[in-house]
Amino acid sequence: MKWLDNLAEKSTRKLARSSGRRSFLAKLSAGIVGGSTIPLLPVARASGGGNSYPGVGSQSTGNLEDPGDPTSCDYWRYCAIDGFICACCGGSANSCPPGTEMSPMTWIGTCRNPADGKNYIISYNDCCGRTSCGRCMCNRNEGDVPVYRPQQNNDTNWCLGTKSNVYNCSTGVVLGIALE
Amino acid sequence: MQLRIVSTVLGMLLSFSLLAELSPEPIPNVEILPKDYPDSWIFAHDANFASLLTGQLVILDVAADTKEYKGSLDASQFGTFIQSSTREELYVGETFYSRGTRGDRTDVVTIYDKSSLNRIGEVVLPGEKRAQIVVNKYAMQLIDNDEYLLVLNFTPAISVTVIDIAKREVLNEVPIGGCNMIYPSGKRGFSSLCGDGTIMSISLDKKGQVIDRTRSEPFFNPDDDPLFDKPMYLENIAYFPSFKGDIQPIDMTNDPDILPKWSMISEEDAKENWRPSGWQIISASDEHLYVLMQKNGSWGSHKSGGEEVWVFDTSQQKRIKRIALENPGFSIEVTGGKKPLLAVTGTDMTIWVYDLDGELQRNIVVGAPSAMPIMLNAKR
Repeated sequence: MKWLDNLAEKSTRKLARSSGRRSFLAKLSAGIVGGSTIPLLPVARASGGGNSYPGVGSQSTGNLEDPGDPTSCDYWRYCAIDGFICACCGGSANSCPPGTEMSPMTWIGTCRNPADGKNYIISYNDCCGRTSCGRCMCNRNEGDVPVYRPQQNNDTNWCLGTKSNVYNCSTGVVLGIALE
Repeated sequence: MQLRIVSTVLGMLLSFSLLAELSPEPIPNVEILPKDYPDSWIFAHDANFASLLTGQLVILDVAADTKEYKGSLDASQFGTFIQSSTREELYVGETFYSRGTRGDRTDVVTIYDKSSLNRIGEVVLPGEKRAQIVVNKYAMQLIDNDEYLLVLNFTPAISVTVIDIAKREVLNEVPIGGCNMIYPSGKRGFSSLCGDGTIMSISLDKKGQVIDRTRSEPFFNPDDDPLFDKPMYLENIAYFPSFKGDIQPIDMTNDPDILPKWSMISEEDAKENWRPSGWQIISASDEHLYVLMQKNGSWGSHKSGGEEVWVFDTSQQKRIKRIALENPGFSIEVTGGKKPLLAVTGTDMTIWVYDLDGELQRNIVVGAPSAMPIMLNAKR
């Protein structure tokens, strides 16, 4: 049955890259992705400047084309993230902390880069194999759909296809530009 | 004055002499719970995101102002939970690694005795594929008078493991590709919502083998107005709220019968952008649905939580009450019995208990400050 699982994984991944993107584009065209989140939850508390997490040092990308603080829940790439921000945990916006393993499968969001006004496809790869980082919990749900669309769902533990399914933190990796 | 002091001291001496000495107390001494829990007891499922390996279920009496904390069960690594209504047993789906966060993986359904809370058995799940989803009642369900336990798998290939729970025996694995979750339906079966806006239905024989499989026409649009994946059952009808505020009833008596949907949102409500929002956003008492609602909702705010609970009569399909919460809610559950209570997990992750008129009764802390009791289970 393992080959069947592998086949299903591959096709699901392919689906994630295609249908996820299409539907997100549909939402973008309707102007509904990128709206403000309501910081009701203690876990979605970032707002305003800085990272707003007590005891967490601010960072900068140092890149005018990629503006913001990667330790802040408001950082543009994190528009559909759900978890601990890896930049607060020894990794970065697009890398995992040392000793963890980046999941090869994940869910996909589309976020607008304020620097160039373009929409980018973001892959929220989880980092796995260490216990929860616990710093910088951030939950944003722009474009999140319930679990019957797993490729668009951030409630799923995406530490899949890794040696250990134990979840440590989440990244937001730029895959490419969404439009044109 | 002096006389009064003297008489007080004399009185104390007299009462001391009347008090018996404390007897030696037995060791060890461990509490047990009744076999049949009162209706006001709930299981608060703490996902414990700060350390997923040590998730737990905490048993609380939400009607009590004293001894409200009754006990707990472990639920490791995105655990799932369900109570048997026919046996004095509790089931927890868990995942372990032989060296804590690493090593060999074991997926297991752990079986607890409801009274002692001792572990009395387990069913090891094959294939290292138990689904790990943020706590969701519909990732593990009992069907056919609680004879069969169904466990969701996600690798991301999606399937359901069928277990004969009396025999503690895995019978079958049913693939449900393109669909997800376990909604009990039919005599011995389940249904799953699908990514294309349809619902799939599976019927099983006594050996857990598939005897029928049906698929509905599309009836909802996951792009425009997704259904929440956590419905509330009243009798055989599952009520699914949608992101924008419809209720989609589905009769699960046989193959799913998609009943006409109705809106919870009046024109006036729409002006204030009221929407359902939170984690476990719907519960019920008698024929009334309780739904957690958020003002000024928007796309992406469906998991933020809400400041009111709205009560709807299912036969009239009309709102009959609004309950303003003292503290915004994230999950809700209504208990059963003669004096039902509304338990609300606040966005502060403590439990706020109201009567059904909306009067705040008490506030209960579930555990460490990092506790996340985001799924409340009333007595089944």
